[in-house]
Amino acid sequence: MNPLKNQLQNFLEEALEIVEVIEKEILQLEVNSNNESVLHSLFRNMHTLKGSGGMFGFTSISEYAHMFENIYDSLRNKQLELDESIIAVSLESVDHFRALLKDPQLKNKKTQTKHDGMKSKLSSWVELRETSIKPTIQQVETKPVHTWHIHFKPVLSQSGMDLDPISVLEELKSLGTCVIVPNSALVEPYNEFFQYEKLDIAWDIILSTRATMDELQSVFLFFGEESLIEINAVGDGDYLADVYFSKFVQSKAELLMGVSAYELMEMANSIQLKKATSRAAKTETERNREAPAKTIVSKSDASNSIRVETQKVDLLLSLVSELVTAQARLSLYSEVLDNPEIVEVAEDIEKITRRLRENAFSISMVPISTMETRYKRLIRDLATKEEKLISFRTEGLDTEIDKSLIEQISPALLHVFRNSVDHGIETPEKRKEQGKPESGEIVFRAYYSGSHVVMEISDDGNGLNLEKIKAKAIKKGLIKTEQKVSEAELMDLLFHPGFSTADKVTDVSGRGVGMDVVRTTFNKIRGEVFIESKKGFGTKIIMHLPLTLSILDGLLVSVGSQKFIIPLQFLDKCFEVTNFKKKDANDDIIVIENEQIPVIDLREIASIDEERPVISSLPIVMYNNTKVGFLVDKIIGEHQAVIKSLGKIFQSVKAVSGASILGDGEIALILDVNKIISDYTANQQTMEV
Amino acid sequence: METGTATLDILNIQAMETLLPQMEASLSENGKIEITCESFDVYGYQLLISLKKAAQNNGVHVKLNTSGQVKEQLKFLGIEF
Repeated sequence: MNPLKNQLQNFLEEALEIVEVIEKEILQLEVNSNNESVLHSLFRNMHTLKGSGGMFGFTSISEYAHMFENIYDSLRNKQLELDESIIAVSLESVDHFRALLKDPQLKNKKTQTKHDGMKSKLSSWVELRETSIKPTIQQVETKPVHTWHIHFKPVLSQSGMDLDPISVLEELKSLGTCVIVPNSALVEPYNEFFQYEKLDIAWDIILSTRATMDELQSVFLFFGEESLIEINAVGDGDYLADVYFSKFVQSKAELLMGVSAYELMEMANSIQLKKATSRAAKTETERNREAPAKTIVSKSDASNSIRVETQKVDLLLSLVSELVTAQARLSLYSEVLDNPEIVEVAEDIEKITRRLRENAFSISMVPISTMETRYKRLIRDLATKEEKLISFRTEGLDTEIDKSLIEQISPALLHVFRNSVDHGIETPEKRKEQGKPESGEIVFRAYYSGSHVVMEISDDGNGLNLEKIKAKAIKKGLIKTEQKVSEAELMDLLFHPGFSTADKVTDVSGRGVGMDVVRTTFNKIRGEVFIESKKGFGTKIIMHLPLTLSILDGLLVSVGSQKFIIPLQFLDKCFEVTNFKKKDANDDIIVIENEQIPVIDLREIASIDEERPVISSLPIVMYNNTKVGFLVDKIIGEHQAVIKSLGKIFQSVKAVSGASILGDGEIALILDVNKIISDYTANQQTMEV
Repeated sequence: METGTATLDILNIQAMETLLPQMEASLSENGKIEITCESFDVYGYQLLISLKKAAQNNGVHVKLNTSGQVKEQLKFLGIEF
């Protein structure tokens, strides 16, 4: 990627993250308006957004951030009091920032119109509030002033000047008293060979400010690893206010050769000494007090994480998968060759590959907390709209799952939350009548369970009305009037396409297009969805999903020379069957432990002609309370499969969800268990009808 | 005038014609180098420093024709003309 585009992309991604943090902080302030640390952090984040937006020439972002920042400055200074209207206008502004980050140059007329509208809305809101702004009480700033030395040597791409370091110097100026000493040691005096695009200039910046080290570092947020940024504390207090110190700095500036932190600290020490000498009462220890601690922070030390394009991570994972396959082949052939040295090497490579695979896959894992703000905001907005009181509680948000999974399941989770607010939680009046607290509660819980992550969304609302579901199902012809249906089966009907018991269709939910999409989404990623509910007490949606889409724990089985993998998550038990023979085509039930279990013959499904052995194996799988046995020739054993897509040509093959290359280069097909069982159940129902 | 001629050789007026688009350079009658710029970015700033260094080495004065605002900004950034 072009370095400039890369920087711009970095800015947009980081700015979006900042906006997300701001949104989270607004929601925190809504709950606890006295949380000053959140208020200060929000102000700083807005300040960073303003500065970085301006640095890239996106005035739309910087000017709007400036207006927004003013409101929070007044809040910080206690000139304004946080109330609902500020929260509302802030959240609206967050949405507007998201729109601006999609079109920062306002190329789209709609964005321009929206931007103008938001600016004038914010201005009139501020004007309205100005009358109520408390007179400024003489502010006593509690943070002490420090004098800093910052050495800044920017390294830019040669293709453009969008990221102008001069704007950073301007930004520093806004933080306090600032003197810039150019450091042109590497800049050649002008001659005919002068290279304009080769940036050799550096600066030594002396800054007296109340800003903290973190705040200073955030000014340089958008400069890459190559840029040199060293921040040193020169001393406590405003040394630039000292005439000797100031003159010393000015004299250095005239030479254009920079000034070192050491020189400044020496100067600061001598000033301290002079002051001490002039005060006869000063003690010996005070005179010899040590220079302030030196803190050097380079850009590379400042953060312990890096931003990497997802394509690069995907490529890494794909290569690791290839390596796992190649390593399995090596292990196999080393056993065949029976050469102790090769066996030893193969074992070493196996260990390293396993560690590499674990590490590589952990790169793409992100905590579920990254989604929290989105859900919090959704529930808040919907509750306000429907005039309901809802508190949102979360547990286990540090649980990590594959980033691509988060993106895939997010719309489904949003739908479940919408249902909880719209159909689950009752109005405060209704809750009061039922003896419940006026405020309802939605809980989002996540935890690990084996190789899976479980997510639960529960509410303490209405619960499902099973009679109503049954009546609707009968009306739709999904079940017969006299049919005996269990509670679990009735609840499962909610996942049927187009099924909704909502009396009215709202813009939130009720069209019956949701829960089947939720199940389809989870099935696609080898996950599952269940419902638990008790009328009057609430509903819980339980979602299981794999930790990663790339690796699957399975049972390797064979039919003739063909290998299959059954995902372990569905496996219940394994049995052996001797001389299996069907009486007729419909004879597919086998009785095991007094239980009738349908048998699916993989030989038939895969049209394998090879002869069946006398003793066959029967792994029993269970999905959605239905048990089915897969008749296979042999169970080879457990296998950790690196999943490969079947490609477009085989997309329509229903019984298979993917493939995996085995150690000997053979291909094993991964069975789509839920699809096979769902199709089998549907066929049975059709036959019964 | 001799100093001015010497400066011409050293700073090479040909090279100066290829200054950044935001700048123009000329040699005034009294041998001063005159730079005109309405605005500058970091590359322009570095060029001004480079010109100032070359001029200092050769005992030539550089005059900058620009707005008061730009001069103030340059002053803040540590160079004065």
